[in-house]
Amino acid sequence: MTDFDVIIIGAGPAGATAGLFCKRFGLDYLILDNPEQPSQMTLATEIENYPAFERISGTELLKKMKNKLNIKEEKVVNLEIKKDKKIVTTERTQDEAKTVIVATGASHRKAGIKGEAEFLGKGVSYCASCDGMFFKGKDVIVWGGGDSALSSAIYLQNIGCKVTIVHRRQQLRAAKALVDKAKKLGIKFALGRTIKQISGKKLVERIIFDNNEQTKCSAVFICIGEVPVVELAKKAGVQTDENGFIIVDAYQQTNIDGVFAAGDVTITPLRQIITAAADGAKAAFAVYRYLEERK
Amino acid sequence: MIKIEILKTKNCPHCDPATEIVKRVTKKSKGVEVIETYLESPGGAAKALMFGVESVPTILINEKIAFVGVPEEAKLERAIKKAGEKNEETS
Repeated sequence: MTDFDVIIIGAGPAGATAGLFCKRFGLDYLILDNPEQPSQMTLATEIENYPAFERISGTELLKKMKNKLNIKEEKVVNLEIKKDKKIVTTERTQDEAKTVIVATGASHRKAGIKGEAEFLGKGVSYCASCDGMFFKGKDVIVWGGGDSALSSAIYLQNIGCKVTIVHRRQQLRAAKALVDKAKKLGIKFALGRTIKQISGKKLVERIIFDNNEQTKCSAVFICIGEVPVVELAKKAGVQTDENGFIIVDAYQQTNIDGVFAAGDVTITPLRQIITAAADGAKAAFAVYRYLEERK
Repeated sequence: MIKIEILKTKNCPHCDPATEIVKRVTKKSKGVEVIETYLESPGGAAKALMFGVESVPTILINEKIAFVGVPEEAKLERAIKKAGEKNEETS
């Protein structure tokens, strides 16, 4: 068991940036990266809104962020809070720290409709960059109206899929630049529509809307938002809002002394790579300040 | 011999983490062969067709689909153990 100043749980943009700043503050830190849950940013095939990079993939940007940091690829299974120490247990080891930064991010939201689980891997996907290549030349549905849905749709159309975006509202939430690009590429839109079922024999063959209209397709890429990964933190007593996101103050401090949180897992008004990275930097500063005050 | 084949693509962000887990779990195992197959290659494309693969990473254990997506370490360990026991029964 090693005693650290801070253990950072999660190695997405928030966790990695927290690590970088902790390193620069001279703190003894460890980042724990769950290999079973890669950061959501790795799903982005093209990032065009991260300063200093005209265009870069999420995987490449994260690789740069994680460069030369102290990262252990182990899944955390328990977080125990004691008065002056936090005990973090992974599947293989146990470490102690004076403070913890929870940067566990978010995972894709499931739609919970008929056919979604049944056709997972048979036409239902949450990852366009993973599975898009199987549907070149075929009709595919991208379900969602945010940045990730539009980015996925653009990627799929660019590799040769025939994309229709389905969104339950008349207005898309995504950035105008992405919407304009999608329109320019000839992507079709079905707005104000809700999918109630994904159907087929062995593979996805169609979607059924709530008014029972049907549209033929070979795949449905579901990009309808995120749910925070908070089970560990909640179990340890960290307070969340009604949607499950961790409540933090301006210094990323949670309700528990010495426990900080950063990135998509927190109550942030904007969930972008740049905001997650900034949260990570603030959390690292807060840890530094916290430890200095107690010297 | 247990054969584990990871069907993956170059653009897939989940494929390398899945490969790392397979390699870590099988590191100390004797009699386990790990193969990485990129579906962009002609052989890989044929394999995807043969198994009806429409999602990556897909992990085959002894030529049967065992996992779609990044496997949990504990589940992968159990699946490998089971495959080993099956091999012993049939040998």
